[in-house]
Amino acid sequence: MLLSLEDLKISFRVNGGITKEALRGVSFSVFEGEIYCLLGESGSGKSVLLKSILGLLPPNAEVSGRVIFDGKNLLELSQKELSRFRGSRISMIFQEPMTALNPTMKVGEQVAEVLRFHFGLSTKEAEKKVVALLAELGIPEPEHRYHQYPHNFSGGMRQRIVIAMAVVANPELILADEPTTALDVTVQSQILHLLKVLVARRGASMIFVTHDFSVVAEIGDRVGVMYRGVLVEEGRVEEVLRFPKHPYTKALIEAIPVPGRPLVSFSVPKENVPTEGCPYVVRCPVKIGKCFESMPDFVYVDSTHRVRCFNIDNFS
Amino acid sequence: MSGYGRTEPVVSVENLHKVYKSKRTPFGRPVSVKALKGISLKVYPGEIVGIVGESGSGKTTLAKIIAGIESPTKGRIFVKKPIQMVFQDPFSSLNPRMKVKDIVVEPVEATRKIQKHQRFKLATELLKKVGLDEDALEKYPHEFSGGQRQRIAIARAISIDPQVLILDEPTSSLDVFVQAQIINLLLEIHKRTEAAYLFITHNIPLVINFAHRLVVMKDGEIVEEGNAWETYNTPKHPYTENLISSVPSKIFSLIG
Ligand SMILES: Nc1ncnc2c1ncn2[C@@H]1O[C@H](COP(=O)(O)OP(=O)(O)OP(=O)(O)O)[C@@H](O)[C@H]1O
Ligand SMILES: Nc1ncnc2c1ncn2[C@@H]1O[C@H](COP(=O)(O)OP(=O)(O)O)[C@@H](O)[C@H]1O
Ligand code: SF4
Ligand SMILES: [Mg+2]
Ligand SMILES: [Mg+2]
Repeated sequence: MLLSLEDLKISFRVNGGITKEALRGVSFSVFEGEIYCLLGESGSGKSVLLKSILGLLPPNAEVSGRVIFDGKNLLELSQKELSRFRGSRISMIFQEPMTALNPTMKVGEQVAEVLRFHFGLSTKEAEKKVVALLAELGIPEPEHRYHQYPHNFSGGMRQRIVIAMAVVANPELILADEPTTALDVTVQSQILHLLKVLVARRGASMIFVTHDFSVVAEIGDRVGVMYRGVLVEEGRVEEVLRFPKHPYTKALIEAIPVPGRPLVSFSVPKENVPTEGCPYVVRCPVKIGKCFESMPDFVYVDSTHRVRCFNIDNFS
Repeated sequence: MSGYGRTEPVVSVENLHKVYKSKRTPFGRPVSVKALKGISLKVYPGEIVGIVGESGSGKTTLAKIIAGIESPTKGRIFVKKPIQMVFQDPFSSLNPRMKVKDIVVEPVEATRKIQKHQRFKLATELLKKVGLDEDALEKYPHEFSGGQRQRIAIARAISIDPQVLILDEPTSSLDVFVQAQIINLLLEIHKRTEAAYLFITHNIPLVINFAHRLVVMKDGEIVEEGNAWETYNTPKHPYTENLISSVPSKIFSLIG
């Protein structure tokens, strides 16, 4: 096990002394060499979860639980100690490539800086390594491209630079936050392929955050489905897609556009999360009495497939 | 499309060209971009045309020229009015300082004068058509979710019963359930009004379920067009083939 989250809770202090719960006690593990997809609608807590791993949450966030990596609880480390992990052992790829890049600095130098910071390589050594990496990432004329600025690149090429920054130090864990959402299908398909190959070649692990089940099917080994700050189902990607057990997962799959299948409309109420009870109870078509009273525990469908639901027997 | 060939088109563009001269950037020389290089397209009443193609291929440029928001560098345009356009980003496409009741009737007011009580009635009816409650009338756009804002944008667009409705990635910023709602809303409106739709999207599995025709663009040109379902299943141009093979399709065999 490379990383494990234990009962991670995150809330934000907002105006007027109110706190807003973003994660309601999430636990899962990521194994060596796997791609773990975290799937959920916007606002379900995916980005907040990733940011908490690297200590990137804003000051109004309150975090409890444990994030264990290499035997250490990352939540207890100082920013200074964390900065030694960031980029070198754990790295992050953000959704919008432009926010991760400095517009006034040559792209090659931005990638090389990671190497110089963590390993103290000389400028020459770093450049050589970076040029080889840019070539590996399918960037044509890497020696020439090294010296260009972000605005000289298309969206897809920029995302490759961001990926280069994330993998150049050979991290054990890559956190990817919707890295292809801003890209068109052609480029998305190239980037997904690239990430898969890179992770496999380096034996790294990745948490891949997305709201798109079709992307999960392309890239994931396992998937965790989040609903309003709660992990509601987890299992191997094929298993979950073929035999979804949670009513929410099932609805998500039915809403995927498939050629030749008419789209089903679902009602989307905007009621607030009930503080006790199942987070899905407002929308759930198969709820029973106790769903309102307490949060369901995980039920294991088999050793790798678990579901937080009181009523899975009546829903298949 | 033989079924549509007998009627007069509601959109007809011929040999459209658009060159953007970009301003000098802090980093380099000014460049000009040939966004459209000779586009010819006809759209018939009631037809739903899906427009697909990689980022930068000219889809939005074509849409804006047809909608009259931009002018072409060269070429001929005929558009049957009224025409309306719904944009991708429901957060920037609505005026943040206007109340919903004023936003939705704006296109009507641009064409004729309406009285206060009619205005209110019209706004209420429009909101009802897109499934929003009356209490939305007095609110501002920022008080709504992305899906609700897109409904407001649609209400606004259908306020003058457009002959042509251009939808530029109307659901790409929305979650799947909201996407399904908006698509079904648009299809329901289509059934009622028989407006022609130009539907721009990157979501090919979505659009081929309801588009009559698919238009594939690359580098400012139309490389292929034809019946949507046939083009998806048997693309003829290598670019279309590549585009369709980029669709994440593993999922279809899993959820079958
Ligand atoms: N106002 C503008 N000034 C300069 N260049 C522009 C302008 N608008 C568009 N372009 C350029 O014209 C080309 C076509 O752009 P357009 O926005 O039509 O593409 P698109 O097919 O809609 O792409 P996407 O799928 O990313 O929305 C691109 O090269 C773009 O950079
Ligand atoms: N800095 C913040 N202050 C207050 N609330 C926040 C902050 N960041 C995120 N949230 C809230 O936390 C929840 C989860 O957000 P996020 O993790 O960004 O969702 P997503 O799954 O879309 O990535 C949302 O309700 C969001 O509004
Ligand atoms: S626990 Fe109850 S409300 Fe929650 S998903 Fe299961 S049946 Fe529905
Ligand atoms: Mg996010
Ligand atoms: Mg566009």
